[in-house]
Amino acid sequence: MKIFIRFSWLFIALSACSSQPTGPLPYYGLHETDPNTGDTLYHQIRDFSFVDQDSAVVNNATFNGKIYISDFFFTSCPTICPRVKKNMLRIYERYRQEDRLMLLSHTIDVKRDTVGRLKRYAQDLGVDDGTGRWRFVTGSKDELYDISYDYISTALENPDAPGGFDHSGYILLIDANRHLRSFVNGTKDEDIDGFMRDIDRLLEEME
Amino acid sequence: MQRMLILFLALAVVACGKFSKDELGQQDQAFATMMEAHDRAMPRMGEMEEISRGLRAAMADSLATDSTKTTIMAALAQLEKANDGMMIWMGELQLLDKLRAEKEHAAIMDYFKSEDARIRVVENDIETSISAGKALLNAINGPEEAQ
Repeated sequence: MKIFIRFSWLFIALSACSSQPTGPLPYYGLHETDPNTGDTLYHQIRDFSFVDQDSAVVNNATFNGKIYISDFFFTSCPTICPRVKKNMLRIYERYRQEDRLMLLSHTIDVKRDTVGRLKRYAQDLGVDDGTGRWRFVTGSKDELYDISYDYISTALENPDAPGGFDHSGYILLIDANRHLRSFVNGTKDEDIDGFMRDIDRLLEEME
Repeated sequence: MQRMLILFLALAVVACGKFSKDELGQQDQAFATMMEAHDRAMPRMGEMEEISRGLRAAMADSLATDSTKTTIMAALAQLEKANDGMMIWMGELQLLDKLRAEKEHAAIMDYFKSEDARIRVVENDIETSISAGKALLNAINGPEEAQ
Protein backbone atom coordinates (compact mmCIF):
# COMPACT_ATOMS: atom_id res chain seq x y z
CA MET A 1 0.00 0.00 0.00
CA LYS A 2 2.83 2.34 0.98
CA ILE A 3 4.55 1.65 -2.32
CA PHE A 4 1.31 2.36 -4.17
CA ILE A 5 0.91 5.72 -2.38
CA ARG A 6 4.53 6.65 -3.10
CA PHE A 7 4.16 5.84 -6.79
CA SER A 8 0.84 7.69 -6.93
CA TRP A 9 2.56 10.82 -5.69
CA LEU A 10 5.37 10.30 -8.18
CA PHE A 11 2.82 9.89 -10.97
CA ILE A 12 0.96 13.06 -9.94
CA ALA A 13 4.22 15.00 -9.73
CA LEU A 14 5.32 13.81 -13.17
CA SER A 15 1.91 14.61 -14.67
CA ALA A 16 2.05 18.10 -13.25
CA CYS A 17 5.51 18.62 -14.67
CA SER A 18 4.62 17.29 -18.09
CA SER A 19 1.68 19.72 -18.38
CA GLN A 20 4.03 22.73 -18.25
CA PRO A 21 5.10 24.08 -21.62
CA THR A 22 8.76 23.66 -22.39
CA GLY A 23 11.22 24.96 -24.97
CA PRO A 24 11.78 28.53 -26.15
CA LEU A 25 9.13 31.17 -25.51
CA PRO A 26 7.30 32.65 -28.52
CA TYR A 27 8.28 35.97 -30.09
CA TYR A 28 5.43 38.49 -30.15
CA GLY A 29 4.85 41.06 -32.86
CA LEU A 30 5.08 41.05 -36.62
CA HIS A 31 7.87 38.93 -38.10
CA GLU A 32 9.75 39.79 -41.27
CA THR A 33 12.12 37.75 -43.37
CA ASP A 34 15.53 39.10 -44.21
CA PRO A 35 15.59 39.08 -48.06
CA ASN A 36 19.32 38.34 -48.13
CA THR A 37 19.70 35.66 -45.49
CA GLY A 38 16.17 34.31 -45.20
CA ASP A 39 16.42 34.74 -41.42
CA THR A 40 13.32 35.69 -39.46
CA LEU A 41 13.49 39.21 -38.04
CA TYR A 42 11.45 39.66 -34.88
CA HIS A 43 9.94 42.89 -33.69
CA GLN A 44 12.28 44.81 -31.37
CA ILE A 45 11.28 47.33 -28.72
CA ARG A 46 12.23 50.79 -30.02
CA ASP A 47 15.05 52.98 -28.70
CA PHE A 48 14.18 54.96 -25.60
CA SER A 49 15.74 57.26 -23.07
CA PHE A 50 14.11 58.11 -19.75
CA VAL A 51 15.14 59.36 -16.32
CA ASP A 52 14.74 57.22 -13.19
CA GLN A 53 14.02 57.89 -9.50
CA ASP A 54 17.70 58.80 -8.97
CA SER A 55 17.78 61.18 -11.97
CA ALA A 56 19.94 58.65 -13.84
CA VAL A 57 19.40 58.07 -17.55
CA VAL A 58 17.74 54.76 -18.38
CA ASN A 59 17.93 53.60 -21.97
CA ASN A 60 18.26 50.39 -23.96
CA ALA A 61 21.90 50.10 -22.93
CA THR A 62 20.82 49.91 -19.28
CA PHE A 63 19.47 46.44 -20.05
CA ASN A 64 22.38 45.12 -22.12
CA GLY A 65 22.74 41.39 -21.62
CA LYS A 66 19.73 41.28 -19.29
CA ILE A 67 16.05 40.51 -19.52
CA TYR A 68 13.55 42.90 -17.99
CA ILE A 69 9.98 43.18 -16.81
CA SER A 70 8.09 46.29 -17.89
CA ASP A 71 4.84 47.98 -16.89
CA PHE A 72 3.02 51.34 -16.99
CA PHE A 73 1.57 53.03 -13.93
CA PHE A 74 1.17 56.30 -12.05
CA THR A 75 1.65 56.92 -8.38
CA SER A 76 -1.83 58.32 -7.66
CA CYS A 77 -3.70 55.46 -9.33
CA PRO A 78 -6.27 54.06 -6.89
CA THR A 79 -7.43 50.99 -8.75
CA ILE A 80 -5.40 48.92 -11.20
CA CYS A 81 -1.85 50.04 -10.37
CA PRO A 82 -1.75 48.90 -6.73
CA ARG A 83 -2.84 45.41 -7.83
CA VAL A 84 -0.24 45.35 -10.62
CA LYS A 85 2.47 46.70 -8.31
CA LYS A 86 1.71 43.98 -5.76
CA ASN A 87 2.41 41.41 -8.46
CA MET A 88 5.50 43.27 -9.70
CA LEU A 89 6.68 43.16 -6.09
CA ARG A 90 6.16 39.39 -6.02
CA ILE A 91 8.34 39.08 -9.11
CA TYR A 92 10.96 41.41 -7.61
CA GLU A 93 11.09 39.36 -4.40
CA ARG A 94 11.22 36.03 -6.21
CA TYR A 95 14.17 37.12 -8.41
CA ARG A 96 15.90 39.32 -5.85
CA GLN A 97 19.16 37.35 -6.25
CA GLU A 98 18.93 37.07 -10.06
CA ASP A 99 21.23 39.71 -11.51
CA ARG A 100 20.24 38.89 -15.11
CA LEU A 101 16.76 40.34 -14.53
CA MET A 102 15.67 43.95 -14.03
CA LEU A 103 12.33 45.76 -13.70
CA LEU A 104 11.24 48.91 -15.52
CA SER A 105 8.11 50.83 -14.49
CA HIS A 106 7.06 53.80 -16.64
CA THR A 107 4.85 56.52 -15.22
CA ILE A 108 2.16 57.83 -17.54
CA ASP A 109 1.56 60.91 -15.40
CA VAL A 110 4.65 62.93 -16.26
CA LYS A 111 3.17 66.14 -14.89
CA ARG A 112 2.78 64.93 -11.32
CA ASP A 113 5.15 61.96 -11.05
CA THR A 114 8.38 63.89 -10.69
CA VAL A 115 11.72 62.22 -10.00
CA GLY A 116 11.30 63.00 -6.30
CA ARG A 117 7.84 61.48 -6.22
CA LEU A 118 9.06 58.35 -8.02
CA LYS A 119 11.86 58.09 -5.46
CA ARG A 120 9.39 58.23 -2.55
CA TYR A 121 7.18 55.68 -4.30
CA ALA A 122 10.11 53.25 -4.71
CA GLN A 123 11.11 53.78 -1.08
CA ASP A 124 7.55 53.19 0.13
CA LEU A 125 7.44 49.96 -1.85
CA GLY A 126 10.71 48.95 -0.20
CA VAL A 127 12.52 48.39 -3.48
CA ASP A 128 14.87 51.38 -3.58
CA ASP A 129 17.65 49.05 -2.54
CA GLY A 130 20.62 50.79 -4.17
CA THR A 131 21.11 48.00 -6.72
CA GLY A 132 19.24 49.83 -9.49
CA ARG A 133 17.40 46.63 -10.34
CA TRP A 134 13.97 48.29 -10.39
CA ARG A 135 13.84 51.56 -12.27
CA PHE A 136 10.85 53.91 -12.08
CA VAL A 137 11.11 56.24 -15.02
CA THR A 138 9.62 59.40 -16.39
CA GLY A 139 10.32 61.32 -19.58
CA SER A 140 8.61 63.10 -22.42
CA LYS A 141 4.92 62.32 -22.62
CA ASP A 142 5.18 61.61 -26.34
CA GLU A 143 8.01 59.14 -25.92
CA LEU A 144 6.22 57.33 -23.11
CA TYR A 145 3.05 57.23 -25.15
CA ASP A 146 4.88 55.84 -28.20
CA ILE A 147 6.65 53.14 -26.28
CA SER A 148 3.50 52.09 -24.47
CA TYR A 149 1.95 51.50 -27.89
CA ASP A 150 5.04 49.61 -28.96
CA TYR A 151 4.80 47.21 -26.01
CA ILE A 152 1.04 46.74 -25.88
CA SER A 153 0.27 46.60 -29.61
CA THR A 154 3.10 44.08 -30.00
CA ALA A 155 1.77 41.98 -27.13
CA LEU A 156 -1.72 41.95 -28.59
CA GLU A 157 -0.37 41.63 -32.15
CA ASN A 158 -2.73 44.39 -33.11
CA PRO A 159 -1.43 47.75 -34.36
CA ASP A 160 -4.66 49.42 -33.25
CA ALA A 161 -4.52 48.05 -29.71
CA PRO A 162 -4.73 50.62 -26.94
CA GLY A 163 -1.43 51.63 -25.37
CA GLY A 164 -0.39 51.70 -21.74
CA PHE A 165 -2.05 55.10 -21.48
CA ASP A 166 -5.29 53.20 -21.49
CA HIS A 167 -4.30 51.79 -18.17
CA SER A 168 -4.29 48.19 -19.29
CA GLY A 169 -2.33 46.73 -16.38
CA TYR A 170 -0.12 44.51 -18.53
CA ILE A 171 3.23 43.24 -17.27
CA LEU A 172 5.62 42.45 -20.11
CA LEU A 173 8.74 40.29 -20.39
CA ILE A 174 11.51 41.50 -22.70
CA ASP A 175 14.53 39.41 -23.64
CA ALA A 176 18.16 40.54 -23.91
CA ASN A 177 17.64 41.35 -27.61
CA ARG A 178 14.67 43.66 -26.98
CA HIS A 179 12.06 41.12 -28.12
CA LEU A 180 8.75 40.78 -26.32
CA ARG A 181 8.55 37.16 -25.15
CA SER A 182 5.66 37.01 -22.69
CA PHE A 183 3.05 39.17 -21.02
CA VAL A 184 0.30 38.89 -18.44
CA ASN A 185 -2.58 40.94 -17.12
CA GLY A 186 -0.98 42.20 -13.92
CA THR A 187 -4.31 42.44 -12.10
CA LYS A 188 -4.86 38.68 -12.32
CA ASP A 189 -3.02 37.24 -9.34
CA GLU A 190 -3.74 33.71 -10.50
CA ASP A 191 -1.80 34.19 -13.76
CA ILE A 192 1.41 35.49 -12.21
CA ASP A 193 2.81 32.05 -11.38
CA GLY A 194 2.57 31.10 -15.07
CA PHE A 195 4.28 34.35 -16.01
CA MET A 196 7.10 33.59 -13.60
CA ARG A 197 7.50 30.17 -15.22
CA ASP A 198 7.99 32.06 -18.50
CA ILE A 199 10.68 34.17 -16.81
CA ASP A 200 12.38 30.95 -15.70
CA ARG A 201 12.24 29.58 -19.24
CA LEU A 202 13.75 32.76 -20.63
CA LEU A 203 16.53 32.66 -18.06
CA GLU A 204 17.18 29.04 -19.09
CA GLU A 205 17.43 30.16 -22.71
CA MET A 206 20.23 32.52 -21.69
CA GLU A 207 22.35 29.71 -20.25
CA MET B 1 7.10 44.15 4.84
CA GLN B 2 5.61 41.38 7.03
CA ARG B 3 5.25 43.81 9.96
CA MET B 4 3.49 46.31 7.70
CA LEU B 5 1.10 43.59 6.51
CA ILE B 6 0.27 42.54 10.09
CA LEU B 7 -0.25 46.19 11.07
CA PHE B 8 -2.48 46.73 8.04
CA LEU B 9 -4.55 43.64 8.80
CA ALA B 10 -4.88 44.65 12.45
CA LEU B 11 -5.98 48.13 11.39
CA ALA B 12 -8.49 46.66 8.95
CA VAL B 13 -9.94 44.32 11.61
CA VAL B 14 -10.24 47.15 14.17
CA ALA B 15 -11.71 49.51 11.58
CA CYS B 16 -14.27 46.98 10.36
CA GLY B 17 -15.28 46.23 13.94
CA LYS B 18 -16.67 49.78 14.24
CA PHE B 19 -19.36 49.14 11.64
CA SER B 20 -22.31 46.81 11.30
CA LYS B 21 -22.49 44.37 8.38
CA ASP B 22 -25.19 46.54 6.84
CA GLU B 23 -23.06 49.69 7.09
CA LEU B 24 -20.06 47.92 5.57
CA GLY B 25 -22.28 46.79 2.69
CA GLN B 26 -23.56 50.35 2.13
CA GLN B 27 -19.99 51.69 2.12
CA ASP B 28 -18.83 49.03 -0.36
CA GLN B 29 -21.79 49.83 -2.60
CA ALA B 30 -21.19 53.61 -2.44
CA PHE B 31 -17.52 53.10 -3.29
CA ALA B 32 -18.39 50.77 -6.19
CA THR B 33 -20.98 53.20 -7.58
CA MET B 34 -18.48 56.06 -7.48
CA MET B 35 -15.81 53.95 -9.16
CA GLU B 36 -18.17 53.06 -12.01
CA ALA B 37 -17.83 56.60 -13.33
CA HIS B 38 -14.05 56.39 -12.97
CA ASP B 39 -13.96 53.03 -14.78
CA ARG B 40 -16.03 54.43 -17.65
CA ALA B 41 -13.88 57.54 -18.04
CA MET B 42 -10.41 56.12 -17.48
CA PRO B 43 -10.21 54.05 -20.68
CA ARG B 44 -10.88 57.27 -22.63
CA MET B 45 -7.56 58.79 -21.52
CA GLY B 46 -5.66 57.13 -24.38
CA GLU B 47 -8.21 58.49 -26.83
CA MET B 48 -7.74 61.99 -25.40
CA GLU B 49 -4.00 61.73 -25.91
CA GLU B 50 -4.51 60.53 -29.48
CA ILE B 51 -6.76 63.50 -30.27
CA SER B 52 -4.32 65.91 -28.60
CA ARG B 53 -1.55 64.57 -30.81
CA GLY B 54 -3.67 65.05 -33.90
CA LEU B 55 -4.44 68.61 -32.87
CA ARG B 56 -0.79 69.42 -32.15
CA ALA B 57 0.14 68.08 -35.59
CA ALA B 58 -2.57 70.24 -37.16
CA MET B 59 -1.26 73.28 -35.33
CA ALA B 60 2.28 72.61 -36.56
CA ASP B 61 0.96 72.68 -40.12
CA SER B 62 2.40 75.82 -41.71
CA LEU B 63 -0.84 76.38 -43.63
CA ALA B 64 -2.94 76.67 -40.46
CA THR B 65 -4.34 80.16 -39.98
CA ASP B 66 -4.02 82.13 -36.74
CA SER B 67 -7.73 81.67 -36.15
CA THR B 68 -7.44 77.88 -36.56
CA LYS B 69 -4.44 77.81 -34.23
CA THR B 70 -6.38 79.72 -31.58
CA THR B 71 -9.27 77.25 -31.86
CA ILE B 72 -6.87 74.31 -31.63
CA MET B 73 -5.20 75.77 -28.56
CA ALA B 74 -8.56 76.12 -26.85
CA ALA B 75 -9.44 72.49 -27.66
CA LEU B 76 -6.05 71.32 -26.39
CA ALA B 77 -6.53 73.27 -23.16
CA GLN B 78 -9.94 71.66 -22.70
CA LEU B 79 -8.44 68.17 -23.16
CA GLU B 80 -5.59 69.00 -20.78
CA LYS B 81 -8.00 70.30 -18.15
CA ALA B 82 -10.11 67.14 -18.39
CA ASN B 83 -6.99 64.96 -18.12
CA ASP B 84 -5.78 66.92 -15.09
CA GLY B 85 -9.24 66.67 -13.55
CA MET B 86 -9.05 62.87 -13.58
CA MET B 87 -5.47 62.74 -12.33
CA ILE B 88 -6.16 65.18 -9.49
CA TRP B 89 -9.33 63.35 -8.51
CA MET B 90 -7.45 60.06 -8.29
CA GLY B 91 -4.59 61.67 -6.39
CA GLU B 92 -6.94 63.10 -3.77
CA LEU B 93 -9.23 60.09 -3.45
CA GLN B 94 -9.16 58.41 -0.04
CA LEU B 95 -9.63 54.66 -0.08
CA LEU B 96 -12.00 52.64 2.05
CA ASP B 97 -9.54 51.18 4.54
CA LYS B 98 -8.22 54.61 5.50
CA LEU B 99 -11.70 56.11 5.72
CA ARG B 100 -12.97 53.26 7.90
CA ALA B 101 -10.05 53.72 10.25
CA GLU B 102 -10.62 57.47 10.59
CA LYS B 103 -14.31 58.29 10.04
CA GLU B 104 -17.77 57.30 11.15
CA HIS B 105 -20.30 55.68 8.82
CA ALA B 106 -22.26 58.86 8.06
CA ALA B 107 -19.09 60.80 7.24
CA ILE B 108 -17.90 58.01 4.93
CA MET B 109 -21.22 57.99 3.05
CA ASP B 110 -21.13 61.80 2.74
CA TYR B 111 -17.58 61.60 1.43
CA PHE B 112 -18.48 59.09 -1.28
CA LYS B 113 -21.55 61.10 -2.25
CA SER B 114 -19.43 64.20 -2.71
CA GLU B 115 -16.67 62.30 -4.59
CA ASP B 116 -19.29 60.66 -6.79
CA ALA B 117 -20.48 64.12 -7.82
CA ARG B 118 -16.89 65.23 -8.47
CA ILE B 119 -16.01 62.22 -10.65
CA ARG B 120 -19.19 62.70 -12.69
CA VAL B 121 -18.06 66.25 -13.48
CA VAL B 122 -14.67 64.85 -14.51
CA GLU B 123 -16.35 62.22 -16.66
CA ASN B 124 -18.47 64.88 -18.33
CA ASP B 125 -15.38 67.07 -18.96
CA ILE B 126 -13.66 64.10 -20.58
CA GLU B 127 -16.62 63.32 -22.84
CA THR B 128 -17.07 66.98 -23.80
CA SER B 129 -13.38 67.54 -24.56
CA ILE B 130 -13.22 64.37 -26.68
CA SER B 131 -16.29 65.38 -28.67
CA ALA B 132 -14.99 68.92 -29.21
CA GLY B 133 -11.49 67.70 -30.14
CA LYS B 134 -12.85 65.11 -32.60
CA ALA B 135 -15.19 67.64 -34.18
CA LEU B 136 -12.32 70.06 -34.68
CA LEU B 137 -10.06 67.40 -36.17
CA ASN B 138 -12.90 66.41 -38.51
CA ALA B 139 -13.27 70.02 -39.60
CA ILE B 140 -9.54 70.40 -40.22
CA ASN B 141 -8.54 67.04 -41.68
CA GLY B 142 -11.72 65.26 -42.69
CA PRO B 143 -13.55 62.53 -40.71
CA GLU B 144 -11.03 59.69 -41.22
CA GLU B 145 -8.21 61.52 -39.43
CA ALA B 146 -10.13 61.90 -36.21
CA GLN B 147 -10.93 58.18 -35.78
